[in-house]
Amino acid sequence: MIGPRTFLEYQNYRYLKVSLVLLLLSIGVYAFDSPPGGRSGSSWTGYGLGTISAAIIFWLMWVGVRKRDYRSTGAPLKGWVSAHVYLGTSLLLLVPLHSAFEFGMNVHTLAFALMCVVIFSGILGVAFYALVPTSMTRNRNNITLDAMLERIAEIDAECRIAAGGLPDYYARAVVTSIDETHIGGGFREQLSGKDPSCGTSRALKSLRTSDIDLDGEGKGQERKLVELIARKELLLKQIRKDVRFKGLLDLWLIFHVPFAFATCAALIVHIFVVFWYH
Amino acid sequence: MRVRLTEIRLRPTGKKVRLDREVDVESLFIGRGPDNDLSLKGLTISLHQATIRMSEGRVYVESASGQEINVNGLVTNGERLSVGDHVKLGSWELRILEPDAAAGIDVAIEYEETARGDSERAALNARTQLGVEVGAFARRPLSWLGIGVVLVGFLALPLLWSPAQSPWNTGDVSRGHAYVESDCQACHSGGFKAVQNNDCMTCHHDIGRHAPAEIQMTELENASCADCHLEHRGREVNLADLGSGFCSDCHSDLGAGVPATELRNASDFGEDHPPFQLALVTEPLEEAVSVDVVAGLVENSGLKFNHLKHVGKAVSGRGDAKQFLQCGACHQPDAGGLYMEPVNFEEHCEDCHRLDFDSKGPADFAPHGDPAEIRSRIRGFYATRVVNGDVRDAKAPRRLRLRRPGSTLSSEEASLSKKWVENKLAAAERRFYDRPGTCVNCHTLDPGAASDGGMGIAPVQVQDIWVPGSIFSHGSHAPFACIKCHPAAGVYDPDPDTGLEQPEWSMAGAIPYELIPREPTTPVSNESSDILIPAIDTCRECHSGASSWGGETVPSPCSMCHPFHIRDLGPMSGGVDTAKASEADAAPAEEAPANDAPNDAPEEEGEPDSDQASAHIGIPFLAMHSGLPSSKVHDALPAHWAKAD
Repeated sequence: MIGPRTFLEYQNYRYLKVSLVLLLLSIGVYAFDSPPGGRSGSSWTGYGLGTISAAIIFWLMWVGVRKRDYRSTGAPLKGWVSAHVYLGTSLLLLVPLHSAFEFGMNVHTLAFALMCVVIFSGILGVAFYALVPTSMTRNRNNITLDAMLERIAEIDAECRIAAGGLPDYYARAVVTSIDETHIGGGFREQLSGKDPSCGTSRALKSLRTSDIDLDGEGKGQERKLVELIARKELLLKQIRKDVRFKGLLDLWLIFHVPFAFATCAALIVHIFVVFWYH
Repeated sequence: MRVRLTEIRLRPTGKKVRLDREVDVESLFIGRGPDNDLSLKGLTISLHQATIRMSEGRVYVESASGQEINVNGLVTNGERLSVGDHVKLGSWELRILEPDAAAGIDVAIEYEETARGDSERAALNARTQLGVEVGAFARRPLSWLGIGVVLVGFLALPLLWSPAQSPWNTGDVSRGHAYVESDCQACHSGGFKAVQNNDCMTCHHDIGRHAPAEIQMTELENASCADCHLEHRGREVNLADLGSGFCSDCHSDLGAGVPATELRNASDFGEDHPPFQLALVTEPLEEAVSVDVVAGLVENSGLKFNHLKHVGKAVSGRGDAKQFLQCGACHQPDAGGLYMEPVNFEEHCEDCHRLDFDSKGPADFAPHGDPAEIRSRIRGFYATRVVNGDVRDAKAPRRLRLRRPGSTLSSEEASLSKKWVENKLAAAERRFYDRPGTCVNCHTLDPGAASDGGMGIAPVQVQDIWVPGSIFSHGSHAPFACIKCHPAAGVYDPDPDTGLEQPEWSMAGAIPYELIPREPTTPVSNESSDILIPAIDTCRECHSGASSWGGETVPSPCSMCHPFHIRDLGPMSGGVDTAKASEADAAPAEEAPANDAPNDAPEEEGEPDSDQASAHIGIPFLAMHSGLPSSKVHDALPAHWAKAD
């Protein structure tokens, strides 16, 4: 995983500087441009800024190809990501300069709006990448998600054994704890990091409030069972946090990528239409 | 420390076997890694999970990785172990046995995988759903959906069905073109083709040139209308307003590009603009000359008129009420609100200055016009009296007075009659030429100049448009009183009854204008040669150049007053010269609507002679120029126009 610092600070902010120079040049050209009829997307400045913006957008899309090309000997991926982030963000100003800040209820502004969703989801992604991995690492505490799940499975197995000699009440609690514990699930469950109806929590509660009087050996087994299920609950909490962090790291891409393709489609329609009826 | 490790392994047959081995170690390392003394498989076990060591004959277990260890069901980081203790590591259970001291064994450990999670794991996996991309809610299907919606909804559908093209519209078209907004093909005649001049000239076929044809402006001749007039910029955007920079590019130093020009340079109304140039009549019927507006300039229209004697005069109106003559009594704006209608004798003068020719006669009066015509009319009047036996003039010959009506005139009567009629005519002419208030008030007499050789009137030419190089809209200036710009014309005599000054007159719809304190130095116009057109400084009190903004003046681009396309210079290339076309073909139906005052109401357009003409300048034209929606225009049209649509 590439940490944000590595690509934001890449080569001493090379692409931040490139983007700022590009923006300043564009603002300068825009400010000194006075075509007959006023500034617009269809002046020569407008065409120029539009061409640059469109080229940047198609290049930004290429990151999706580049990041899957592990044999590439070109610029390192973090350089690509660095340029992707800075040039992408600069479109928020380049494109309005291209259109001379004219917007309306049409397919042209639709392309811009879709692009804004892409950019803001990208910014969100960068923010998540800056914040989430630290918390995620701290939460994992050197154990992988798979190991945690494996441990849950073991605890489940131990619980079945531990409850073997105990009254049915305990067996039922164990079955609840095993069969009614779900990890992850839908979009909301994963991102909330909680499961209010978790079977393990309910089982633990019922064990703790049980008023069944057991003899010496039974008491020991009961204690062991409670211990196991309490540990399982703690583990589940840890797992669900992990799932939530993973969800946050993946979530923005679900918006970023489809909206990026939609933006490209709208951009193609935009270019087609302005030349179809120009 | 010598340790015996006994693994209890479950055979697939269900039989348990014991596998012993012995190791000699300082401490016994336990973990998942193969380098441990006791290597236990299982992901929940760390590479180095725990250490068992001996100290002073006692056995201890310690966590090696900070991972917890479960001893006898209790979680701990380190614990002393006794025989019979159970240590849980992952799915493994270690049991401490009695060491076999005889065999030199210090610690005996039996270990077994107790709770294998494999089957539980499979079940847990079934209850586990990871990854935020679920089903169609994933990058790939959503991407295809996005692409599909955009391409189908905004490209394929509009291409197949033109009403769906409205999202292609980059912005509202200007008000004048709003009526064709939903019909893209009205202007965009083909795909991947810029708007052609022909598309514009379907309606604007008589759009005028900018410069005379002798001045070769190749760039302009080859230009596309759309190069300058950018549409889709919003409903209220004026397509003709290209900013003063557009004009000053050439006009700030016009001589450089057009050496032959007589135009003077101008680049900014406030800063760099020559004085107004009048079309001045110096001799009636001669061509007007171009003259700068300067003090002391006089015109010679051939008319005599004194503003001072008229403005503010109390007169009896057509009704009973007494009125004070105001500017509007004679000067009415045209229907387009641009210029003033010409002053007209019958409408504006005749109420007071009726051409009565016989004080004792019946209430008849001569028309205003050609003196020979008037004479013939007067002769006819008196001759009719004779024929009708209606001569009541005491000084008329008796035979004429006593004639029976309808009887044939004898030759003597005819001779008497002729003499009498000529006498009456001479008397009438004396009234006109000698008495104040009739012809001589306004006109210079020119004996013998009339077509019948009688008394004639010196030629008259009143300039209708004083500053032909620009367009001025009186309507736009309606809130201001006339004397704001024409001070000399607006001086009133005091009210003869009250001795008070009269309220200012301003145009219809104007804000009532209260008395303005007038200085004794306020100019007064009492000569017909006075020119009351204001100089540029008057305009500059309110109007500044286009580039000045933020002040209290109105930023005024060149196009506010100067049209770029001047129809009088002929049509732009590709256009139709309507003036020539209408001369060549007198059929009015073929005449294109040459519309100098676009805001004319329908009835002012004149009566179109055919349905073809009305269809052409009907609803779309009116919708365009009146700002009314097409449906309303339809209602407003005269019936014979409406049927054409």
